[in-house]
Amino acid sequence: MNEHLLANTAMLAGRILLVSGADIFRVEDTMNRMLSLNNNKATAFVLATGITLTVKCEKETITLIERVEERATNLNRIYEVNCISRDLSSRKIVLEKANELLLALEHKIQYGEKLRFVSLIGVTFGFAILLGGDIGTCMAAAVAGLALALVKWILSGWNFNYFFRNAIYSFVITLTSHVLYKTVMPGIDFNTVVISALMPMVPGVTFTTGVRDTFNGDYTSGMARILEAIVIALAVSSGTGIAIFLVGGRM
Amino acid sequence: MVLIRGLGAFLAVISFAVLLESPKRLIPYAGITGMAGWIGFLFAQMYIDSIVVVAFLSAVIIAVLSHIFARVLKSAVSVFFVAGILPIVPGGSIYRSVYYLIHNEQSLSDFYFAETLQIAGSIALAIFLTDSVFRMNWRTRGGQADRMSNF
Repeated sequence: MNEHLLANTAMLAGRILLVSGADIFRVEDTMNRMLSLNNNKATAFVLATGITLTVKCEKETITLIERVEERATNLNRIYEVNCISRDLSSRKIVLEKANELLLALEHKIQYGEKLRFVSLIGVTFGFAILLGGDIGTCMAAAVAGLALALVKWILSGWNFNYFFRNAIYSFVITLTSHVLYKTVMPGIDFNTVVISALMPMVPGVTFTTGVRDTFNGDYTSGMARILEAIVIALAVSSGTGIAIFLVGGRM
Repeated sequence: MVLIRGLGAFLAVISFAVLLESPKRLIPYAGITGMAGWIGFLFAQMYIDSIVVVAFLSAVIIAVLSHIFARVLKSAVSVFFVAGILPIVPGGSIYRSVYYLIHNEQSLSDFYFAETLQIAGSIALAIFLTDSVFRMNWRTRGGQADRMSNF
């Protein structure tokens, strides 16, 4: 058994899971299952912001530490890492093959730019229907969603931190909705439009995972994620707040 | 009307599932989960005044359905839950809290801020309860599947 390859593969699997937003229990469980292929002592220790892993071999100890920066939910990668790790445990595939599959998976995106663009509009449009808006309101929400997709696309090359980025998104959405309300579509329900368009940014996923972590006993990571959700919520509300303040008055 | 709003929830949830990069074959089921949760929300709202209880019941429906789908389709709970919960995430309450804060209506702002926390809390409680119940059920049968069942 090649211990170095084993450690690297387990680290790779852990990193993909953590970056894709899996809960801590899952990341540690998957890594430990992989590491148990080696009969020596091995442990993975995972926090919301980094991974530590150590494998004890006969003559040396391998320890890897990695810091995880960017996180974006990607359910497919979580799902596939799990399949690979189970195949590896049940000896359906060898370690080299697993490493190869994981490397190919690391940057795999299922859906193209265009589909994501349309989906963003789908979320805002669907949400306006769900909230019981009339046809005009739903249309306005779709337009606000388009504005969100556009500003996301424009800013994608810029290196803003996530607080600032979310604040800009929500600012643009609120402003767009206000302009629509004041000019083209005076009959729309302004609040419903803004809420629908803000929905893709509300940190429900992060919060949910944070709660799961907390209940699993991973208190440090759970709190880190819940805090992350609160910070994003603050960013979104400050963007909206500034826009409402600037346009002033009742809407 | 409830049906139309339910279909809106379906559209919103499947679109959101695409943004979350859900596995392709599982997206319709995520949509069904979200739609069922939202229709449950609307019905519960007709009979129950407390938004916290309504949100809790709806979150339980979504969580239970997610667990069932995860078992039947041999997948993970989060694939269905994370997208399906979207309609009851308290985005509206956060927005209204800020809106009234800017318009200098402190008591309304506080009310919606508290509502945000309460809804978030009831979602958390629903996750906790269903996870515990389903995990218990699974342990008795044991085996490899237990590890797959909760993520």
